[in-house]
Amino acid sequence: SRNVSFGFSLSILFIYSLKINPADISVIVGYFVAVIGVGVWAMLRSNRGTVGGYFLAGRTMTWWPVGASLFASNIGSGHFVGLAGTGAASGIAVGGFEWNALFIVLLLGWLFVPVYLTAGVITMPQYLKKRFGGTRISLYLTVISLFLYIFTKISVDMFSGAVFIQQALGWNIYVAVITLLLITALYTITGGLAALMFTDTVQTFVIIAGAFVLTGFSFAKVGGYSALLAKYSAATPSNFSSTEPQRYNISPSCYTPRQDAFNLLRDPTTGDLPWPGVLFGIAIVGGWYWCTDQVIVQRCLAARNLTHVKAGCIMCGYLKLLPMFLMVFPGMISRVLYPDEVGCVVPEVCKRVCGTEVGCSNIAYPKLVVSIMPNGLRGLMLAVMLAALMSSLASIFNSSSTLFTLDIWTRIRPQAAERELLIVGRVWVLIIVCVSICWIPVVQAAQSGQLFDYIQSVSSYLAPPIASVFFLAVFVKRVNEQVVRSGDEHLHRLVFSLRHSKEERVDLDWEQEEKGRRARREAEERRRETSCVGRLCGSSQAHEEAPPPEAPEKLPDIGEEPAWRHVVDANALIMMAAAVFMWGYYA
Amino acid sequence: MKTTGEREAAMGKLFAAVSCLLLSAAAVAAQGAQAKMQERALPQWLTGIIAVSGFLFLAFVGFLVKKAWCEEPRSREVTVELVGEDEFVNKNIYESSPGTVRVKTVVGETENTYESTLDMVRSKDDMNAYDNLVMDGTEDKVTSM
Repeated sequence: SRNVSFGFSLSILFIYSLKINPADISVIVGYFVAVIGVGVWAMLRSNRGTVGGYFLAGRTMTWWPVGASLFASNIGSGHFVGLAGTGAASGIAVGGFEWNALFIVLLLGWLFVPVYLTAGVITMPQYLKKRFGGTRISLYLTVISLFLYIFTKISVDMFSGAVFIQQALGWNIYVAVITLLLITALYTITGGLAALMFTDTVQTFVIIAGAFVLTGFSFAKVGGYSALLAKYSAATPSNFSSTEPQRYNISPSCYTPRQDAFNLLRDPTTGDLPWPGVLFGIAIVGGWYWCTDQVIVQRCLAARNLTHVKAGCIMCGYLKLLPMFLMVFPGMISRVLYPDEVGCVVPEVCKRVCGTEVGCSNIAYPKLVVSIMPNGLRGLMLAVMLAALMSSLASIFNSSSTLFTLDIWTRIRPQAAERELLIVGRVWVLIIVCVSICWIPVVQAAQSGQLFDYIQSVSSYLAPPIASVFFLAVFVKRVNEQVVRSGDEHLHRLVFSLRHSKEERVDLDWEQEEKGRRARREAEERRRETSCVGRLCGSSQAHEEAPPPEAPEKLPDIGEEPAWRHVVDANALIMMAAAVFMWGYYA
Repeated sequence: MKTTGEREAAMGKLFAAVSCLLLSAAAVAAQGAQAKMQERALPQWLTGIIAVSGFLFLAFVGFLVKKAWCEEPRSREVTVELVGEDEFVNKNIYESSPGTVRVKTVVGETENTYESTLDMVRSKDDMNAYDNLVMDGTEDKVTSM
């Protein structure tokens, strides 16, 4: 989502629409059948009747759904449009956003998830509540996270995805979006996280396969990689003189491709993405996104043990090597092939081409899809966009539902039993689907791209404080909410240095937990007399004998078999070496 | 010890990540003024190879440093870690077999074998099992608990 901060007025961009023909339609139908089929299969094989089963997939996931889900939840339709568009406009430095994540995701698996696992929490606000005590911090984090999801993540994906659908299918935008969201909500609500992670695996295949195909065609059309290197610096539009010289001039720097277009690390003072920002600034925001955000961490918590978490993180890292080649380079190829449209500079021309005077670099990827791909494969590219959109949105729906259910609802009604929480979780997904639909009028109203700049600013303001709070929480034992209450007895299994400790922990949130347990016990006794209604919702048997929805009583295990640990560590080292090589190559 | 082993790996990763960022920064500083590709002093693949070698070297140095640094605190942590822990034995099947006999020689060599011998001794039987083995003075701390 951070890549889509540039002139995002896709809403009336496409005057070229994808002429849908039977081959395209069959590909799209096949894609939906595959996704829904996998969702149903996952739903049937998983136990969704408990909080742990619904929100954490029963902690049974192996490494490949974890890795694929991390990748698919991250890559949204905004990536396709934003990465390609920025690549067309200013070169490969925007790929640094993706390649920075290669290291951050390893921090997640090695440093942060072990602590979250031994803490026995499901949500990040729960972790902060246990670590610092009190309820304020967790409430702040819950509210901020929900706010950020609705206003930054969902909005970005809705912008890019809804328009693609409208332009590709020519449908009414509300019909298209509601249909898409209902399909997403279907397998999110019924299947929970397990269904999501397995469908994300399908989505990852689709995304990568389709993007590879387009990249192949693009490179073939432009004449190869070296041809791209040679031709990009010459990709200037034919119209570059001002139509009203008295009002404005167009200087050559506006339409000439950058000299450092093929450098990842650019001059700190004159570059558009200075290298200190790319290395350190992106790392901080990346630390928030990958290591402290519920969407990403929840997938790691659903793994069956720490080795699978680490392997999944490595797989996600390898996959994150690809966006540079699958999205950024095709964006640059698009500018080479269509300099007058993608690289337009005269405001009147740009307005004619894509509906906005600021620039048309954001049509880079869609233009390739429309112009280069043969029949049938255009449907595949539409499936790719839908896959990216649906996987991201479904993950956000599920994680926001987790946050709301376990952090806000349990505070409003501490006596809520598991079945009630599961119902609330599902209802919240419906609510947030409606909120997402409400973004459509905003999409149609906001023609200029300034809205996205504000969205990016908001998330950049809020991310570093959250990242630093979590960093301090995990690594610095002395940081506490109340100065008096310091000491190791509160911190066992909540900080990195004590993550293996087996001693009893004096919980800082003991009083609230006890109140909640008492309330649930009383409610359970009262309920025993009345009949139970909610057997329809797929939850477990009538007698609510199941334990209250807390972390499992036995200490969560973050031990690893040493053989696999060495394998995983070696793989991480190899992946980092590959990442360093790519950084060094393109620096 | 599992802690130190993981910490080693984790710190190694963290250290390596930071070092590679610094390395990239150094690469940029070296190439600072060059904007066009034709003016590169080194071909791109060579820059990549140099970056990787630097990274691997720093990772290796970090590994050695952690191995040397983490020896001492380990003995003190053993006392905390092993209280009441039975599951270790079941997990460390891989390590437990060769370790029992050669207790003296392997102490201090690799952390895994060290912990496995202790665990094997502690787990199911009486605490006095220690008395039969010739071990370092650190063992006294454990039994007294």
